[in-house]
Amino acid sequence: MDIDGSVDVLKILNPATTRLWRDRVGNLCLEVRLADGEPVQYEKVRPMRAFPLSAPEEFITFFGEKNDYLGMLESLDGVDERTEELLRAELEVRYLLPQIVRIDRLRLNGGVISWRVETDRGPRTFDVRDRDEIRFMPGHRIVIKDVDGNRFEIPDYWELDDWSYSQLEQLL
Amino acid sequence: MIRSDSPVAEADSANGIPEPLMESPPGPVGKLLREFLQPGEEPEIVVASDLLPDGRYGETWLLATKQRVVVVDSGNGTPKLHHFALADLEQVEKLDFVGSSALRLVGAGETCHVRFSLSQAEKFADVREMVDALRSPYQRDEKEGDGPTAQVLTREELRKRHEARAREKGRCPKCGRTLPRWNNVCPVCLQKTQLLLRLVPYVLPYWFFVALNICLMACTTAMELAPPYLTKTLLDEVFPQRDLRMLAVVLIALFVVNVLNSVLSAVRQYLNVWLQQRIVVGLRMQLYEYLHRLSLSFYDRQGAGHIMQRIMHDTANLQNFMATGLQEILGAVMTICIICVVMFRMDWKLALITLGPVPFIVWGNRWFSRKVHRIYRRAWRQSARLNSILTDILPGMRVVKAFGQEEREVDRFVGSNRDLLHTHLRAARLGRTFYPFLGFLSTVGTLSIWAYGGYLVIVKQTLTPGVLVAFLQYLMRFYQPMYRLSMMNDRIQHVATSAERVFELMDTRPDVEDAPDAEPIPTIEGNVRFENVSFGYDTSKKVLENVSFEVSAGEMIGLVGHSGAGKSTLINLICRFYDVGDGRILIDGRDIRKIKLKSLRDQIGVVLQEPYLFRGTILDNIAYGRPKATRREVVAAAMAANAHEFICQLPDGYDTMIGERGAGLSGGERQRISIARAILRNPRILILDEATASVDTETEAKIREAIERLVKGRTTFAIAHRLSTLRNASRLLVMEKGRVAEIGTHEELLEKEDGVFRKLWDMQADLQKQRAEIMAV
Repeated sequence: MDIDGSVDVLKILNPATTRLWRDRVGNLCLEVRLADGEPVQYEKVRPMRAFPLSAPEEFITFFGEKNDYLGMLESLDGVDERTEELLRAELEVRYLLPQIVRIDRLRLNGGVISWRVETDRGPRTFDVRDRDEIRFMPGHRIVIKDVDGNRFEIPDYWELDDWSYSQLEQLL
Repeated sequence: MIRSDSPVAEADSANGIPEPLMESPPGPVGKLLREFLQPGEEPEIVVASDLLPDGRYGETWLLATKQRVVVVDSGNGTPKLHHFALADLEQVEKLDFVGSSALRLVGAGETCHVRFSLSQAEKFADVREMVDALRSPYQRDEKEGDGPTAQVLTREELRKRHEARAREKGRCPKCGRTLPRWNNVCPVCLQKTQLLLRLVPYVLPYWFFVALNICLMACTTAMELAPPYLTKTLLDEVFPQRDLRMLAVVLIALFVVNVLNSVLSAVRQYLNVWLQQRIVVGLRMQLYEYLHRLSLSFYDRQGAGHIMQRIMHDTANLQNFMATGLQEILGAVMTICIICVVMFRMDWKLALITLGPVPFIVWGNRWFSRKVHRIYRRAWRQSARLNSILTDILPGMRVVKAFGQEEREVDRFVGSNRDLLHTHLRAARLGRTFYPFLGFLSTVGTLSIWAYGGYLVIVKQTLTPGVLVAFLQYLMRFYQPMYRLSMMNDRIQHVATSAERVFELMDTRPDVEDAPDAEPIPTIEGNVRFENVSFGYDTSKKVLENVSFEVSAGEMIGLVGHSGAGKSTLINLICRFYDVGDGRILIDGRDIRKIKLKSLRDQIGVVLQEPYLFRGTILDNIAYGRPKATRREVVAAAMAANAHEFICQLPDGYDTMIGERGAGLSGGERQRISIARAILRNPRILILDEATASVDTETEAKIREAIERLVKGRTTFAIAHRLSTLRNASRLLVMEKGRVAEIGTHEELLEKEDGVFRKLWDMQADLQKQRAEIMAV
């Protein structure tokens, strides 16, 4: 299948002509140029990651105010500096994924897993309802979802210190 | 002034329940916030979020009064302040992200985001609602007459919401801890003694047998402890005195004790089983009866699996404990006491030396078995993973083969299999080293008692050989009850959990119950009227809002709308599976809450999209709603439902057994049986929930024919996605987002140029045209 030929169908955006800015109240606005070179502007745009865990910087998809699909950036390469900065900041806010750098305590209590950890954003305690909410990913990476839907990440559990690892071992 | 020192807040903090949306900020922040307030201005909301603007964890404080909103983030040393006069506040919006959310406040020339993690999503939903309500007086002139002004929620309402949410989210309503998914019982708040006491009434009717059993146990315990004593007599008195007559007496005594012991034990064990069954059958019956009284909302909250678990597993657990657990504790305590008394009386020094290490060995054993247990659990999980690979792959074998992925699947299996092997080996290594070590320890213990005792016997001559031997025998009998007692705490925790779940079920009050003044309704005419009905399955989201309409007897009403628009909910309310939140529903002018539930449901017939057939014959299933119907009536109903034909072609006809959920019949056939079931009941109000959705066109024609017969002379509510099936409805009711969008006849609705129904109709017509074109090609 000719995937390159489907650029128009997928509305893959040209990074050079894609521009973002914020309006007065802080909503994101997007300007893209269509195939015929005509610029189109959208208000209240929401950028979303297509692969939030495995490729967070690729395939960033834009949705409009009514949840309509506006287009997709394959990567951040080639977008202007201001746009890249804005986009990174927006995605950073939209996808909160603190990284766990140390596990102070991990306790299993009747199926509930209680964590007390140090993250790159400060200390945190949270509960995980059961093991299914803990995803083991390639490269010794772990992504955890707590009871409220907050996410946490251990980028590489082999890199954890001994104490943290001994705590984590209860789950392995 | 911050209200943290007001009497209200104090009273609540004394109970350990924080006042909702009224938190106490730390000194400096509190001072900052306070500076904004005019004299006499009272804070309505003081809350902290758990995120700073830059995404680090930390508190951002928000204070709202009837005049203003102030936000302070205490992040990097110097706090940042935002101040909004409510009169200038343009927008309060909750933005939802992944893993966090934010409240956006837009005022004159200023925008501020209060970020918070999802743990506080509900709290800030309340904050948003409250701030909106607080600023509504300032907006009047802009939006004149736009519905009633939003009401500021009272503390009481907030607290109720808070509690309901805790329950919905699986948190302990008392302490806020997360509850385990498998049992929903808070291990901390569990009141063990109180729960176990509640079990007493179930045992009381059998008090005589329980007492008898305990007596028997006391006897057997005593008898088990007799042999060592007799051995001592043998060694210390009979042998040295070369007394043959005494030897015979002691041997006969030993024999009798053993025989009696065996007989009594057998009797006791039988009595145990007998007791267990008696007690648990009563409990299980009561539980099952209770289940049928509970409302549907209970079943929405609890999965069927959990409820089954309660009936079978939990009652069995209780049974076990009530019948044997108590006796075991008594028995163990008794044995330990008797042995201690006997040993200390024979020789207290030796007793101390002998029994001294026992607690340590017991404790070590317990520690170790927990550790091994953990590894075995890991092995169990890994084999569960293997299992899930199998159950995942085997049914999908066609796909695996079609995509040529056999090798990869084998590799996947091999990997998991190897993990399992390693874990098993590790458990085995641990087991193989610890148990011999434990054995070694007790051998050393025994040997040292022999050594010390032997020294006392030979050199000091303060001890007789008989006492020494008796000691060692008692020691052997000492471990078992000690182990048992050491495990007892776990066991009690276990049983208390079961008891909690069983009693929780019995303590649940059905939401939908007959009012004390409810009266039966003899024959429903079929006039149905909704008056400003609002309803939500949980507190946070309304599914129906202000729904009003009137239906006269005999009308057929088609319910139309996107999925999630509230059609099924509307029907659930007519059946009174749930009670309305606000407003009322009238049938023949009577509030349905004032009609006896049974008489209401007796006159409502339901045909569902996925007809649920029970295990049994076709005859049983058709007659389910009227078990006393004659064969003739059943056949007539089946004929009216266009089902007679296919039923008679089955080898066993009406006596055909259908499996669970009606396995063995096609969807259309099952549907026609369920229509026959409804026809036989002769309901006054008929509900068709997507009755023709899952069948092919030909079958649909037959079912539609059957339905037309069924509908005659009854008030009917029909839900259908395929709008064409509703063509003979007298009127259509179009639902959108929980409200009635349009109501009218088919033609009337089609005439509305940009009506909701018109749009839906055009869309389906387009789809049909496309389909027809494809078919033509």
